[in-house]
Amino acid sequence: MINIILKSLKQRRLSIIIYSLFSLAMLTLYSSLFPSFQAESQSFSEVFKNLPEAISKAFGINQTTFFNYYDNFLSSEFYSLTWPLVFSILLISSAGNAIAGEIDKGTIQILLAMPVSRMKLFWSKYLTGLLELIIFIATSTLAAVPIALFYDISFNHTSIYLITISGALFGLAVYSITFMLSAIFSERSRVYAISGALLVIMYVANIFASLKESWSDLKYISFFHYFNASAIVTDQKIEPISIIIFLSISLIFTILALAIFSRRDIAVE
Amino acid sequence: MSNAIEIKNLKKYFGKNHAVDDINLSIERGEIFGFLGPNGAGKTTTMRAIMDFITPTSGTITIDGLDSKKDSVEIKRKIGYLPSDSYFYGGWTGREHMDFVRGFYGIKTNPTELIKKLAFDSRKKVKSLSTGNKQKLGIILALMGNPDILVLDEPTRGLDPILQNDIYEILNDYKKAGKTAFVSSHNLPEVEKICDRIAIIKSGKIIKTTTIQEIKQLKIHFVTVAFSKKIRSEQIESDDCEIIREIPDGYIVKVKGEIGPFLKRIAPYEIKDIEVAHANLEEIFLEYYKK
Repeated sequence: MINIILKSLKQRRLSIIIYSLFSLAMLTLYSSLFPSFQAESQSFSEVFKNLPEAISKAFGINQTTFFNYYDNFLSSEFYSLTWPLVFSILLISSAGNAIAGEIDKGTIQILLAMPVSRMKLFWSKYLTGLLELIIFIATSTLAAVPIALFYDISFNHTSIYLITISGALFGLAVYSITFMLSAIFSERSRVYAISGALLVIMYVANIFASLKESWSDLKYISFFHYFNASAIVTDQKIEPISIIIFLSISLIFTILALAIFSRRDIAVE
Repeated sequence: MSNAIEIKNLKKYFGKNHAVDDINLSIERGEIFGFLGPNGAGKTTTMRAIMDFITPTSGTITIDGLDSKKDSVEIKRKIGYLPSDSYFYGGWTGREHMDFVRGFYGIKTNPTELIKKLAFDSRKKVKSLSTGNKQKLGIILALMGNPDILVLDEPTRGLDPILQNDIYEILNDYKKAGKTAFVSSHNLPEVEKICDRIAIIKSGKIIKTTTIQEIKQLKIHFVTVAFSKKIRSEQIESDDCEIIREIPDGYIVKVKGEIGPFLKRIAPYEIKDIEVAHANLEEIFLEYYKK
């Protein structure tokens, strides 16, 4: 099992490094800009106060404290959209490659010919993606602490820890759905297309839900509703319903993926 | 003692396509068994079912008395498998592949001799290897676990004659060590060289299981005969022979079974020239496929 995890990590190392470095660079950039924004926070607050509430809600802008605090600023500018988008792409690519990618490339034959059960093979592949998620999330959230120290910014660490946990749960749910698709299909492209479409639909549904009262129920089908970095920072808590939704989806889709992968015929053409 | 591979009433249907349709095979220990058939006949499907890549619609496969589904992990410790198309991790070297496979079997596996025998450069990245070298790597990986049974799906496809001979040599050494191999091929001269017995599969059904000696005894001759005078085809044709082509002053005739009766039939005519050739295994094989 360790053999497969190490092999898979070795293959994915470049992606992990690039995505983590990108995220780290974004975090550093926003952190370096924060002091100047903070200095002008009063003027920005006036501007944002004139924005329609729906727009502020849709894009996670807290009108009163947007540029006052580092964690508020980061949650609105980085952790609300760019960050989950980046790790979703990383995880979709990881899950898509894990099974469908190996079938697509024909290399699954090497793995299936080895004396290892499909269940072990499944968990090895699954854990590799989880490790990617952990590495990425840890790099791109916990690094905020030393970066803030470097720029002499004081902030509430709890916000970052809560965002780390909530982001990890969001990532786990996205990963589990994509992993199930990877267990079903034999082409990576299909996995990417369906997972990508699902994310876009969820994002658009969340935006639409905040634009019109009659569409507000749409938010319940969106992961972006259950992962709201700005609300986490403001309320200093993760909504229990978000934890339940993300964990339930992860569990259901992981079990489905395992059942499908254990039973399916695998033929490389 | 159980057979090395025992396939009973194996069926594998993909919707309306009966890829394998109720086949039975018994492969004894220590024999090299050839599995012959054209593309789409069901050879690869059967091998994939042995390897538990696919689940049979019905029927059973046992390897050394172990069930191919229930005891899949244990079975794979005994089997070295070479797929018909070998795919590798392009960014890895041959050595990295070997190290990866070794991780499943432990340090007992050492392919140094094989690498030497096949003159394989294990330091090169796989994406830069030729088809022949990739096939060498596939063979090395299949043999790395020191398996008791080899399942090789068209092991010499696309290889030059020198490499083909290297693989025949490896299989012969393997046989001498008392081990078993199940080898698919469309190349009859190849199985003639290496196999003890063969099964011919067509459209998912086994149409013949026989020894190489037996199949060679199913004689077919090609007779090229020229006569001094014009002879009509009806004068020489019969149930056991078929005129393949008319040539100046004569015919090329395919004679099935003993050649004596045919020679007696043409003896009354004045023969200018005659040439008799034995059909090779491929031609005998094609004869089966016409049925």
